[in-house]
Amino acid sequence: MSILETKNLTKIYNSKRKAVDSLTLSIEAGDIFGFIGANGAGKTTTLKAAAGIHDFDEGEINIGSYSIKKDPIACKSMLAYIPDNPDLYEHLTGYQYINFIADLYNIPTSQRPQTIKKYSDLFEMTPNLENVISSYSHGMKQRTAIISALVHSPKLLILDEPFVGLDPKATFLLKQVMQECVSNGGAIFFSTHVLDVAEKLCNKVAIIKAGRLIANGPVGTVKGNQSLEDFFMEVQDA
Amino acid sequence: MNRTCLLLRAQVINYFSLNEIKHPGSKKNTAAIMGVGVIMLILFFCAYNVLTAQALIQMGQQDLIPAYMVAISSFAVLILTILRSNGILFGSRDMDMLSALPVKASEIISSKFLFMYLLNFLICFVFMASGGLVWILNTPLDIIRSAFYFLSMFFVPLIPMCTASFIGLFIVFASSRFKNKNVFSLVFSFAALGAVGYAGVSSMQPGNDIENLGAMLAGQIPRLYPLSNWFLNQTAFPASAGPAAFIILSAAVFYLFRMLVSVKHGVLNALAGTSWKYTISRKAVLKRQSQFTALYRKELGRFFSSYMAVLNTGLGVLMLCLFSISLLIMSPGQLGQYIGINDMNSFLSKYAPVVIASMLSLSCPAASSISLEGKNIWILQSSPVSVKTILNSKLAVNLTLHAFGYFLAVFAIMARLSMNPFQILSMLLIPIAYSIFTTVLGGVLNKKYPNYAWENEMLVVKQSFPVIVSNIIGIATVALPVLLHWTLSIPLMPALWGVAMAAITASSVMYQKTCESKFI
Repeated sequence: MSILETKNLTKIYNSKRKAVDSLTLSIEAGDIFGFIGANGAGKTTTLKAAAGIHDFDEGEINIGSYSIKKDPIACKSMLAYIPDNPDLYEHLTGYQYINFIADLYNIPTSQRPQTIKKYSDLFEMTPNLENVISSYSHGMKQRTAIISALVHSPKLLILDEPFVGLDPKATFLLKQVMQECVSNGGAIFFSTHVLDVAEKLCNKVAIIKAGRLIANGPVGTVKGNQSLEDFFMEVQDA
Repeated sequence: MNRTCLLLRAQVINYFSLNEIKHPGSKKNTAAIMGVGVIMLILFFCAYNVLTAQALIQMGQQDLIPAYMVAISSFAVLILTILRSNGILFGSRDMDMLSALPVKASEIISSKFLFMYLLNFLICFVFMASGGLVWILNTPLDIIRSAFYFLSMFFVPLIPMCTASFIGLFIVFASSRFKNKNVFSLVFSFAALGAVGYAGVSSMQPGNDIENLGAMLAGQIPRLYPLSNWFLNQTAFPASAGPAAFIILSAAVFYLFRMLVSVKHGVLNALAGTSWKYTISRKAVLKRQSQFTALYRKELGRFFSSYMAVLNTGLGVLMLCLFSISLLIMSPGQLGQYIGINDMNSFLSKYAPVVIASMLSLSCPAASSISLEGKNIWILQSSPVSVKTILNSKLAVNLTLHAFGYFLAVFAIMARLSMNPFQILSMLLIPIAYSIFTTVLGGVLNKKYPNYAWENEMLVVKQSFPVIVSNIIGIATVALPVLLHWTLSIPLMPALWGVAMAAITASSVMYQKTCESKFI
């Protein structure tokens, strides 16, 4: 079953530059889908459109059975988005921020303590959640963003460069959480420049160049006999 | 180009979004509308100064014009710089980046001072050039004195800027010693503004000695700004000696202040930056709230955690509260005598809705509330919350702020004045209509023209397109019925009710149209 589907997605900036050009993708339950491309290729634009952050000019995006244009609230209830540089509300404490996000997702009070405890213990953030976010390091902010994204058990996790700024242990834990999410019937759609991680972690990848999709499918099929890095360099230089 | 000029150029380009304006199809329309607004404002002030100068000439007091213009422009620079010096000099987001560059602290400070100077010079230019032209055209030509007057235009902003920045420094330093630094910053800032305002008003106390008007004004102007005394005709010295001494003193004060701040800038910047960071840590109660309540509480916390936002957007409500408290403490007659209104009772009975509405129109945090999300906007954009709920939470904070001023003013006026039922009804309902209109207009404009890429809160809180336009339209809407009453003799109350009804209708249309949007 398709959790995220984009059909001919096109996003144009300043009335002329096509940041994303007729992009068609399908991400199914159980997929860890890596989205690869050079800087400015259109990865973040695609992820933001899929998360309902900005509008697009042509095409469709469906999350589950809902259209993000027609029913953005229903779509957003099913997903969680974490940007590459998570700027959080700095005047709130970690707990207050996570609770605020839980309010926006209408999470019942009874469900909150154990979910928050589970993930804050896992990411070793429990002692820090009582402090204001402005006192956090970049990695701690990222962990807080991850905890808040997981608090409503999303069906689809959209992550923009999720491993940047995380220490090795947090990186390992995040991969674990991603595996757990897909084993529960969810899907992950994330962008990365770390091709080794994509090759090992993902079951599917897509490569985007200047807004156009140039490869898409299971990792083994896309890269063939060579490494993902070699394949990426080959298509970039073509 | 030296490094100070390079830094200044970067600030100007960034502040006025010059590259985005040049870029085809981006912010050109916004810039055009804003340009028209600013030009209108400049023309208004020029016209006001020309009329004031002409009035002085008609009274035979043309020699007072230079001192008057210096005093008034210095006072305006002082008040406006108190409101923004800390935002420009300290605590801006680009400080970390600038500190890592191979530039001296003094060069960073100089560029920031020069930037502040450019904005203040414009104020002085508007006041002094227009008044000065009227003065020159109506007095026997004195080339040296005239030259010194126009030259001093470049120096007049310096001492008020330094004084206001010093007050800003004191506020940063004093409030950093308290746990709730933000609250103390606000208390100190409002106290400083109140003190400056009080000094200004009390120095200009009206007198009844019409025959000695010249002597009275000559006494009042230096009380408003003592250094303006040097622009009055002195018999003991040549007429140009005063302005020349003024120029030297201004340059010296500016140089010394810049040196002082350069030495301690790192410490002061750190103090300013920490002012809102370390609130009391406490575990949140994991209790469910509605989306609106969660957003409203977040928004309220965000508003009160921003010293810059409260100071600038809360000023109208604060003035209304001060007025109301004064009315409760003093008799209406005493208050009227104090602010120069002969029959305060009948004035307020007639103009109470206008007074309350005008103060509320000056306070519009909604006009910058969406932009203030800044880099946090992704949180709202990716959450399953409708634009309507987000907008409602921001409008509700604005209305909450207005409610403080409104209820206090209504209580004070009703307690102290005798009004007929229609006047009471007008006082109760008309300000509500204006409050809703100002709030919705600000929120809608900010939704349409957001700016999330700011480096300094002041940019969106004080000088952004939605803030300026909503303030101008808000004040114009309050002024319209009064002008209709004064110029066309249309009865005030029907005019006020008519405009209030139109404002409510416009608010409703704007609100509904904005709520249809699917993306914030």
